[in-house]
Amino acid sequence: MQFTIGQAEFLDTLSAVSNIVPTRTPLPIIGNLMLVADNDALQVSATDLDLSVTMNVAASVDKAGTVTLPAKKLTDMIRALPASPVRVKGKNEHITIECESSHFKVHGLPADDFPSFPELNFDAGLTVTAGTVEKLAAHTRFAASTEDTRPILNGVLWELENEKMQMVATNGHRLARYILPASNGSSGTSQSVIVAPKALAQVGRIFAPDDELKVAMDERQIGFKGDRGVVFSRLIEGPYPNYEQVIPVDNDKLARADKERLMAALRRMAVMASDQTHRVRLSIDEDTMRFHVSTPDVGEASDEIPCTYEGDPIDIGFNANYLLEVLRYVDTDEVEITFKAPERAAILRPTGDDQDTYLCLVMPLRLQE
Amino acid sequence: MASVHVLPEGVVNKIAAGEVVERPSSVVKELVDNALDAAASRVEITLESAGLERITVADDGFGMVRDDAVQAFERHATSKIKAAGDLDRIETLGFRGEALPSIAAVSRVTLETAPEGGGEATRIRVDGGEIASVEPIARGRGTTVDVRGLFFNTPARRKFLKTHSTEQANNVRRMLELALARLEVGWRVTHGRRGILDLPPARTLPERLTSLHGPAYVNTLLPMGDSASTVTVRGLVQRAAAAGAGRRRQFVFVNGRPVDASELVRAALSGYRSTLPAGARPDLYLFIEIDPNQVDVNVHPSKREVRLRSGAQVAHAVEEAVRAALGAGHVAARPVRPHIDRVAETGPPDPGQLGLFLSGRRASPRRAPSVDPQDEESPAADGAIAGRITGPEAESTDVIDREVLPSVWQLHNRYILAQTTTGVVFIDQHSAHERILYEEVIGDIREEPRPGQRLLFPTVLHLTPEQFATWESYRGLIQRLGFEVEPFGGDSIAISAVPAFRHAFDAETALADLLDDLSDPGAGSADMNQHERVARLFACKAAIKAGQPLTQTEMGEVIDRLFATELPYDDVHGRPAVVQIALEDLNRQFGRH
Repeated sequence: MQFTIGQAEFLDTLSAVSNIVPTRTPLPIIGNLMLVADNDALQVSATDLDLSVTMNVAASVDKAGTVTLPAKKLTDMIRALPASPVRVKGKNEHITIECESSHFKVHGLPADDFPSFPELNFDAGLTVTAGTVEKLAAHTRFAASTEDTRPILNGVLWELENEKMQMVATNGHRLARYILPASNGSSGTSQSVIVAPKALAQVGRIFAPDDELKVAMDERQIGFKGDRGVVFSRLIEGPYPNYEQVIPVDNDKLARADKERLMAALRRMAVMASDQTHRVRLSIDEDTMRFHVSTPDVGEASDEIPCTYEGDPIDIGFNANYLLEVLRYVDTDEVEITFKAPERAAILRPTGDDQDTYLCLVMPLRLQE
Repeated sequence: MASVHVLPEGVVNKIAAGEVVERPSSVVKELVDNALDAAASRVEITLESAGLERITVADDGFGMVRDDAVQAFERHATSKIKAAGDLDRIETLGFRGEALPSIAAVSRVTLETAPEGGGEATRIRVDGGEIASVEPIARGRGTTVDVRGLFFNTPARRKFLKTHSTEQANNVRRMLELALARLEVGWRVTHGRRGILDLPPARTLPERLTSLHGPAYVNTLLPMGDSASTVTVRGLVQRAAAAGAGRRRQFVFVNGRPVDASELVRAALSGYRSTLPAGARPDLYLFIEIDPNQVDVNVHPSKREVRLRSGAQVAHAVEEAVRAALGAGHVAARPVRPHIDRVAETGPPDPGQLGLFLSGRRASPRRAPSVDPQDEESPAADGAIAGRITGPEAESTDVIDREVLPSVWQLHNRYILAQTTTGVVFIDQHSAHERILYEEVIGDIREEPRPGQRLLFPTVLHLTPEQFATWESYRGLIQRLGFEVEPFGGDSIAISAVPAFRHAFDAETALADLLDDLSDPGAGSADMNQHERVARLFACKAAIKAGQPLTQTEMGEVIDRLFATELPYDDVHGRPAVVQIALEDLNRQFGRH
């Protein structure tokens, strides 16, 4: 193989792809990137066996060929080179890399050993922009679990229906759901898959927001394909818990407050909250939201902010961190919180036109009397 | 002056009883063994007060004629073996001829039996080992043994018994084992007025398990069948993905005899290799068939132990059989997930940067291999450590952070190494955290109950009857830990809130394990009160495990909190939690002094 490519483009491509390469792996080939040069384009691929990525970049190809090279060495090497054309050539596993006066010889591994990527039928897939996927994912993936105990909750549920698509994530203590109209067209049938958050992050990394993507899936894999490349990920096996059942529909107490003031008050309370439970108590009536924490051997704190409130007064406990985390993703200045009872889920939403797109549930901490 | 003399028969029997009849469950087991050896097709067991008031075992087996029945109360009277050579080929459950006289020595026994073929039926009453009456009666085929007032004449033994719920849990475990071993037999067990088991004869193990735990449970199991040259391993193993709640339905049968064989359970678990989530314990039903002359069951009077002449070979066969079963079934793919807790992704400085001469990123055992693509360990992000603070994932960090201790290392994901003013300390992360949680949990129990984090999806735990009985007796204490638990029909419970702790732990599994250990009479010493016992066991279940990677912040927190406890240097099991090495000792080692 033989090709020439600008140092900056080469480095960008290697960086975008090689971050999925695992640092420690029993399979040396996984630590390598696969480079395919053909038809004035270079394809760089990486895989960790669950997630696989290929990125395309223009290059001047003199002689087509395929090789795998160690990801870290190659990336470090190209990063260290000056901003000039880089010439890569060689036969089989013996590759020479040249740039201005620099000269490297690297040893690769046989390309035949590189794991093959899944085959999915992208023609039948739906079309969506990368920005849409990123928007859905960014608002939800924080809520996914990071524990080992229920693998299903480590994923983000992506539901595709005729007119809309939505993503949902939860760790069993809090839940986030974001809905967008499926204006980019869909395949007509409704589908749902559970995707690893890291696959969604990779989509955001490889593609620009305006890029049109084809999304294809079968029972085990999902693939995102655009002009810049393709991302495959193993799906997490369902079934996802029936989250719709736990979204309350009878929350009859409604508070509206300024999001920044609410967050500031919670941060102050968090200082004195128990470092184990992070429990803060909210007491809301007519026009005031009061906060109180009391931690044995540490001390107490209280604060209040104005709010509008409809319903009977309520006293309810929360993990301050869960509230703060969720509030960070509410995009409006004002936030709406509804309640039913101190042991039932509270719902946080943005106010205004986006009201129905985003919803977060937070389960309370039991208050001991 | 004391002289040596042969002990009277009654005393010999009481001594033997001490070995064979330790607790009500031993009586249940011995009597059921006899029923099964008599080719019963149906066994009915009635218990009162966990068997202490009454144990009745009725069968429809081949019964005994009068003389045999009387002789059965004599020591070493058995129809099952005749000569020593037979001990090498034991295929019946009993053989020692000790059970009935031993039981009779410490209780009031009534035995009714009618021999096969319609001979005269007999009733024998035995009171504390003395035959009180032998009379002819009329009754149908089979034998009924009724044992009342167990240990009435050995008050010392009675004192060693546990609570009724613990003893009952033991009874249930023994009966379950036998019901799994003998599928062709119909079983009915009642305790007081409560029906515990009602099992029709089954043709297959899945059929029996369906009667016991329902079809959904059976679907989590995979059949196993493997014949090595001399060992046959059959049975069912649970899919790795379904394991988790630590229910401890792990049963091993050797030639149809339920046994305690931890080495075979371990072999089965190693058949799972790494497919099990940390702490998960899959249910196992292992049936091992082996040439009877390869097994010695005459190790202990209770016959719970067996000695295998080729133990390693059997263990290997078990491991291979489990692996084959899992390989044939569809083992759920485990998704890749970030190992790192939410805590403080932004906070701690990279310790790789702290020591000028400890450079080399690989050399700092700073944290686990991270699978998160955003993490700085991936080659592309190398050298861009500062960048990650503002990177997209940084948004999801905990808001509450703490001061970071400098120079703390995690060794082998197991020990924390920290510098002190006079040297270094190694801290066992599990022991340390256990100690911390123990004191917290004691506080929860004695002072203010811990808040419970309500769950979006309440979890239903299907408990064993033993675990359920334990839950009922410890309900109040368990609630103070922060659990909200309600009965959910049968032996199931629904968990709607779990203890709020900062660190992530699998609360449901911890609860199931806690119930397991609480129902195990062996766990915990007698002088420990209930509060301490619960706190100790729960702390152990909920604590950070060895092998779990920790962040700098987490390690700092463990250290701070450990040294704020009353007894930082010893863990709750009495092992050291901290090992110190003085700088002087190091200096001496390096020849600098």
